[in-house]
Amino acid sequence: MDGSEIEAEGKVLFRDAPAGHGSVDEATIAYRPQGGTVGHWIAKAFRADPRLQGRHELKRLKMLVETGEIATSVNRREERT
Amino acid sequence: MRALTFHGTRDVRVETVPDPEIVNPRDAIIEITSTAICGSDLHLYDVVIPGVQKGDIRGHEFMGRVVETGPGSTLRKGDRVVVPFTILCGGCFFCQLGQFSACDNSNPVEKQDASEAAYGHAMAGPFGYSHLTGGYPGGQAQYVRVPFSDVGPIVVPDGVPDEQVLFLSDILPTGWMAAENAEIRPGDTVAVWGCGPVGLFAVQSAMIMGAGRVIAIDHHPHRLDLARGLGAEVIDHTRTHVLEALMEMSGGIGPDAVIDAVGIESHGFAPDNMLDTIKQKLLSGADRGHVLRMALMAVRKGGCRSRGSMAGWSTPSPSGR
Ligand SMILES: [Zn+2]
Ligand SMILES: [Zn+2]
Repeated sequence: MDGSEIEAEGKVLFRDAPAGHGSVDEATIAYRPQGGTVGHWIAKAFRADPRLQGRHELKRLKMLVETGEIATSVNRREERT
Repeated sequence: MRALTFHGTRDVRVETVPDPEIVNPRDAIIEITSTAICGSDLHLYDVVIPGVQKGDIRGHEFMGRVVETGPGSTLRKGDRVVVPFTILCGGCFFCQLGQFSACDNSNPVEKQDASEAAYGHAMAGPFGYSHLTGGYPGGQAQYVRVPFSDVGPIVVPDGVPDEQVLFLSDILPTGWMAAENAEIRPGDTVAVWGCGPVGLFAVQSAMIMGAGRVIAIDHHPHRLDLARGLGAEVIDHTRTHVLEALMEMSGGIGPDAVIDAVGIESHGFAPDNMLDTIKQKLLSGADRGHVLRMALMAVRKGGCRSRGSMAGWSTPSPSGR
């Protein structure tokens, strides 16, 4: 992806889930971790793991589609990260 | 505003904290008029539930008046509302099934990983609870931010005192659902363990659902008196062998349905309970299943058992509504 710090490419698939269970959204992302395997471990330790981030982003997309907003437990707008 | 905040095991303080404001479009801000302390607040006070943090605002049973609304709220300024303790989006698979307490979208994404790892699925987000369930500020405060305020809050008319409707926020529906899950048929004999608020509401709910006999079990004399006053027969488990008594009272087959309204901090000195107590002390988040196990022994073959409230690992199943 252009402008990204990490070399990556990917695709997002949407398909109908059976029996009215909504839709299944699937993201496949290939990336080259910065700093090789050791860099990947460090990223994981700081929760910057692309797999976890990707999963979080998909969940946020689901929230946005289903509710029109992204849930947060902060009490004030400036606390929102 | 002033709010009750958590500082450590058995250490809560009333402090001044920033007022909440509208953050998301469907939010509303409620000025609290009444709030209750729940049995599950004690689990947080004792730190039996993991994921509590210093400064958390307590309280998930509250009602009040709407003072501010986001553009997506259907409430109006001045509305008087009781707020159910579970935050629910209304739009996800589970909300549409009516299993609101399993809502997929109320626990913020970044908080979901912990409960997913511990319980298999991310939990929904109630007010004033643990960070496993979102860490939402609670209602033992002057004001509270209510997300998805177009779905949960129940608008109540003026002229009804707070005390008559406040319990819609948690314990009345919790007791009602415990009885509903017991699948009571007309004339059934129903045993209820625990005569705290949930148990007493379960006793009344079972009667409304047509139970022929309700047998309530506890050891606090005043609680047993209250249950008797509501029409239940009572057993003091410190004076009577509960299993034998239940068998005798039900012609030797056991009650048709059993309800555990004691929950995760059941008291007693039976060996399995002491073992559970030790487990709980060592491992925050384990539950004490003594009452559950006894209820399972007592219920007649093919009968039905139900629990009022649960959080733990002996039955880590989401309980729906
Ligand atoms: Zn409660
Ligand atoms: Zn939902």
